[in-house]
Amino acid sequence: MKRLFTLRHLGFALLVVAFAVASWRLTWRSVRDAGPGHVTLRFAHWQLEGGIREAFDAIARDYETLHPGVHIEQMLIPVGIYRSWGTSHVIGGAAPDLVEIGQGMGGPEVYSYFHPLTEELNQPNPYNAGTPLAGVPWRKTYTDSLEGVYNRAAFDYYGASVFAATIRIFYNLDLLREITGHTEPPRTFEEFQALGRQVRDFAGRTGRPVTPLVCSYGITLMDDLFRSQIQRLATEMNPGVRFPPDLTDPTELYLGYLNRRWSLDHPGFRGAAELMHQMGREMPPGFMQLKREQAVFYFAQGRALMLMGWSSDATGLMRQVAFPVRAFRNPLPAPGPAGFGANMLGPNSEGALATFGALGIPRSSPHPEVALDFLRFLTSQPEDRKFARISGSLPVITGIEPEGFAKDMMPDGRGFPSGPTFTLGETGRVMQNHLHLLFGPEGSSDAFLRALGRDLAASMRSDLANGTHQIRRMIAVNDTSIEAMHRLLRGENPGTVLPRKYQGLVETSNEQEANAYYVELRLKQAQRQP
Amino acid sequence: MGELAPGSLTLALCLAAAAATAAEPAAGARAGWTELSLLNASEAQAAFAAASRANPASRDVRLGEALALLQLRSRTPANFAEAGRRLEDLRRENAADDAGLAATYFLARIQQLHSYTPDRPAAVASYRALLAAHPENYYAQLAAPKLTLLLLYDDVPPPEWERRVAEVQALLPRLTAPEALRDTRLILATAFIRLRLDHARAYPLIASALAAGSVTRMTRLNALLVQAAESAEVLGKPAEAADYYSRFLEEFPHDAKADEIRRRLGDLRRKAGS
Repeated sequence: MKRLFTLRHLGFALLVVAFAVASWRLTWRSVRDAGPGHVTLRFAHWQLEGGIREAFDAIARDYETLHPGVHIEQMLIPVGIYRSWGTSHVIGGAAPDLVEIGQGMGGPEVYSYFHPLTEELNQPNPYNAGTPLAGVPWRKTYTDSLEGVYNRAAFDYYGASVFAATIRIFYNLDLLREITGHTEPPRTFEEFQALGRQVRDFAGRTGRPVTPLVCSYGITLMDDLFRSQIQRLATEMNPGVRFPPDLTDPTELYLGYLNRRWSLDHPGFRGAAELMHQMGREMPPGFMQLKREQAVFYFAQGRALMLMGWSSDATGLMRQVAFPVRAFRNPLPAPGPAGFGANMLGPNSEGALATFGALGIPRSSPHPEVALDFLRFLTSQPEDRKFARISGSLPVITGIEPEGFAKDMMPDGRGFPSGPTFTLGETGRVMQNHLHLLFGPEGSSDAFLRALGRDLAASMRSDLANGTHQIRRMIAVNDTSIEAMHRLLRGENPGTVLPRKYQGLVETSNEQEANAYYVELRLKQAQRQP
Repeated sequence: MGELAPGSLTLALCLAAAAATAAEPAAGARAGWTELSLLNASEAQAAFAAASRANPASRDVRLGEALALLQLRSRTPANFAEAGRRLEDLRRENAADDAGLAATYFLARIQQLHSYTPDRPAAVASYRALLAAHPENYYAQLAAPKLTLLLLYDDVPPPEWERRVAEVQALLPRLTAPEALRDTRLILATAFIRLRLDHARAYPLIASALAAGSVTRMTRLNALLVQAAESAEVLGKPAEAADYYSRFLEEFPHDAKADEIRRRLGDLRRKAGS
């Protein structure tokens, strides 16, 4: 009885202590924030990969040292709830000072509720003083000139990027040595397949359950292989130039298919399906359903020699495994006169390192000037170098040599651009729906293509019609914005941003409108095809 | 110079005042135009409503109220009809002043774009009429690229398409606004490439737009520099092709096309040297 009494009191005492500590923290924070000249800056993001939080913390402490009145806190929001969390906080006026833009936030919730940063990004970043980037417009200090985060609906920049990633295959160095007797990774697709055979032989010989490769993002990561095979086809379909269209623009390929200029019997498309099928054979059954944690578990336990993932996974991965890890780029077939190589015009170039995860300043930010200053600090060359070193991620600012492991993650710009992706929209969904026919136990590229042939034309038509509808809607809204800018430009002091924005808006509207009419015309012509 | 009569002076002052009023948004309307420029249609409506209470006769404010209806997120036929009615009123009252010309242009845009049942021939007729009656006016210049894309991206027999090309080409010398000239040229050039693979007629248009330095969008500049170089190569102008490839590499050194373009540039220079 006495013991029960004591436990009850102990529990109550713990509750009181917890309440007191929470109250003290809350009060202390309120008092500190309300203190004269004191600012607590909060920023929210969803990057939970290993190393990111520590890197942000280190930069924040540097900034606090430089600005003693400022305290910086980061808020880590899980990816699963990020969109609803971000949208409700931003629209509700309760957002922190800086919010990572993305994960579905990109439309009105951005251009109506965030400060445009175009003007600031066209000025030099003062924290680059004394570096080779002194005097260079902030936007131009990025590896991709921030093209990846430009808001095409509002023709403005609403944030500055902090992240960049490439796709890489990580491998267990010890296991590779044990299986092959050396530590050199495969450089071509043929070498990769040969390694796969060696791994299966090893597993059969030793009875150890080792599979060559595992991946967690399924089709997204194999898209690189697919796009290598439609390189020549996409170039042939692109009128007037000897390059394929941009990565995210399959319009000409769709129009070509609907106008019967190519079919699923085209060697490029057949090659794309077959190459993915062969890659799938290197992975365990059911790999398409694997979540990231499961794939990493496979790898960490030594049940997979290689793991295909994003470069941003590297730091977290290294912390979870007890063996040395190295990385190499997806091995692709070499261009040549026959086989897979005949569908290519060159090795796939990865181009510039595309940045993402822009931090923007909501209009409800309590401290927009401090937020802007911290953002400049964070993305200055010295601090980005530090961020990349601590987090193990790729630098987003030019002139920074990646260190150690990150060297293997940098994009390979050699070669020829790949064809566009087929993973988007309704066509992407149709492709995804039939992948079991490609990767299943009885799967084959023939079965996949046969099934795809029944749905592909309708999905392409749907995507093209949807695309033109979206463009028209955007242009219709921007039409009135153009008129408003025109009238403001006739007033006094229009500034420097407005004329540039006006020109950009007029130019884009006319270009996009012409594109929409072109697609409609070619769709109409396709209907006449026998 | 003859002496101005007092009546003439008064008239001149009135005209100058009217011109000044037309040239700048009314003070109260400025907030509305600012919101509209930021795509905040509801806030623009509120600002124009406040401006209208202060100055109900302002045609600038009335134009703003009509256009805010076209920008609302609820894109309903009722909103378009109401916007059309207000624009029609503005045009009927005075078709030749600034608001009247803007109303004429936006009525054509409703016919072409906003309406759920677009009337393409009517939009073409409206743009042609605007260009014929007020060729140098801002709204007529704005109409030129719109007319061009409607004429060229139409499913018509080749002779009719060529007749339309001739109409657009006749329009070009009359375009004084740099953006109208740039976009009309480029819509025509792109149509030549996409629909006819006609490098010979497309190339001078692209080259002019690039020479004028009027292309502001980087993604478009990227595509046009490649197109210009490719067309120059097809037309047997290797030196010009090399210039465009060089400019591409200066502007986009890390682009996925850069490596291949370096190779092509090397080939062109080797051929030029041999």
